[in-house]
Amino acid sequence: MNIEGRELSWTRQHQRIVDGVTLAVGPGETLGLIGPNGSGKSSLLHLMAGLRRPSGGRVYLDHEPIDGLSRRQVAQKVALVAQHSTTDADLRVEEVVRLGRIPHRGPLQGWTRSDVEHVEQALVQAGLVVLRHRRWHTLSGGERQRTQLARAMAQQPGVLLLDEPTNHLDIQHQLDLLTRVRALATSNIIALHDLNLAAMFCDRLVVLSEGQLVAQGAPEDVLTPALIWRIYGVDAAVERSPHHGKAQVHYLV
Amino acid sequence: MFPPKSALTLWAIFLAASLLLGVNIVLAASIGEMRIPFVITLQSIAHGLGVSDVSLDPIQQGIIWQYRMSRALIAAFSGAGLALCGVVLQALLRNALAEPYVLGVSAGASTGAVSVMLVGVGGGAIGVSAGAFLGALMAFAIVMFLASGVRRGVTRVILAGVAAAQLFNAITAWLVSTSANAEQSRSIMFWLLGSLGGVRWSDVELAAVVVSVGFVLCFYFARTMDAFAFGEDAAASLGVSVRGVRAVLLILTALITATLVSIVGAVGFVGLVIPHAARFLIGPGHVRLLPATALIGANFMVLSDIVSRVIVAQQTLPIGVVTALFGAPAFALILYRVRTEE
Repeated sequence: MNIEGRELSWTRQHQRIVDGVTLAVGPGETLGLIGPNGSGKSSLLHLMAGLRRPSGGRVYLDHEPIDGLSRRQVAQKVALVAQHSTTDADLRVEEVVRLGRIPHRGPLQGWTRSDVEHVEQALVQAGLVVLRHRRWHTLSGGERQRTQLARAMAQQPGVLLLDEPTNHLDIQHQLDLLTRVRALATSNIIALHDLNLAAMFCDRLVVLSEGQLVAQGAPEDVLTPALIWRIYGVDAAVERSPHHGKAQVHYLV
Repeated sequence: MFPPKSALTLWAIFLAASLLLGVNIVLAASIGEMRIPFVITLQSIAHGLGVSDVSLDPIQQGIIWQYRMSRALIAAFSGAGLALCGVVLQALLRNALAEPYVLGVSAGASTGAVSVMLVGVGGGAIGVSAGAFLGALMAFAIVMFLASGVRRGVTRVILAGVAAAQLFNAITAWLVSTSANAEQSRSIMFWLLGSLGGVRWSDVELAAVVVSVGFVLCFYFARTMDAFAFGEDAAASLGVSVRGVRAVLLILTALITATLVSIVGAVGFVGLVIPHAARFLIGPGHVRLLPATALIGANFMVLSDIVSRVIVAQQTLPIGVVTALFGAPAFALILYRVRTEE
């Protein structure tokens, strides 16, 4: 599935949070969204998910404007894994994943074979089969993120939006989660802080600064010492990794 | 055993709770100041239901059917309705302490009802229930206004509710002290504490219609309430039109609360305690939770009414006093748990 934002702007309390951003992701492609804290990554993802109405510009799903679709139709196509989502409800992993079927079911419609299959498949994809009966509040950070990923997969989306999904995870779980996302057939947009992980797991990167798009392209073209200095004010050297061939950033302090 | 895994266990629990409710209602109808043999109670109920034409003492039959039975049914419907409001508000506001009484909605409804009864607001064009409804909506508006802006924390909504309750209780007290005579203020203060005294069959009909229709509408949104587990954005990204659903459900809870307040007064804590008990027994999914909450709420309220009539000899406590005796410690317990989890 194709998702595209054209000239997206979003203003909150007279402040431009997102400022004229245009980006597009094609089928099966993974786009990394990088930029400092407060550069508008989360807000941009919320606009792309149709959760906020842009003050300018439009989002298109397979070239159709997203505002022409109902909330439910959008939810059948676009799934979001938000930052620190948590709940007080005493839900089990399986029950959280089942929430992903809500957009596909009528209010009084029973549980169908297709619902079961998609939930099972999502549990497998997220490696949660053995954890399916665990309660949410007993899960570690990595397990929670995988549960949210599975819930998103159960929505059968064409587009998956992930807002800093690796935050607070140790390196093993960061790699595990991103590997799982890469293995999916969805078009993905991932907001990431770690430039090296972004280079490793994304086909293209978009760099945001103060709500504006300042660079985009293949990781090795975008991640230059000049850009890292301009955006983060950090000295860096970038080289091609002899191990995986992707751009590798070394911070010089 | 809990929460039940198989559908069979679940139906068994629902069936048992329904039977228990029937037993409790009959029990409530058999207890009172005038001793009436249990057989007569059963015969009177059968007569009232039109399934028996045994000739009975009209006084005894009247007491059982006109007085005690209507009272027991009102207790059941108000217990179910208030518990239902609690479970809906807790899901919608993602707040373990939300319920009409704590949020000041009951206080708002009381103020609305009192201003129609005493001051004649609306000039006779609106009834007590309608006045209560307007008061309840106003309280909701105030709470939502005070709690909006920042990210809705547990404490903020509750503080807003406390503020609203204080405000409306003050207005009510002011209205009562300036507009009512001694006799009126005594009966109004008693009613405000929550009282099942003096209910009529017409009240039962009103409560039955409002609570049943309210239940059906809430049940329609059961899965939508599940979607709120991770917050409003998460619900929206699951395809829920958050604003619309929130408006419908808040107005619905205001309507149920207002109707019940205008009949039995502001009974607290039922809406708080029962949903937690039901969640413990049945699990967090609203498709099961809503009927379980309504059934347990009805049982709880009928039993509370029995307790209120037998705990002090020759006297009936206001039912709100009894529910508060159970509810206040439960409130403290839940507050403590919420705090430790934060």
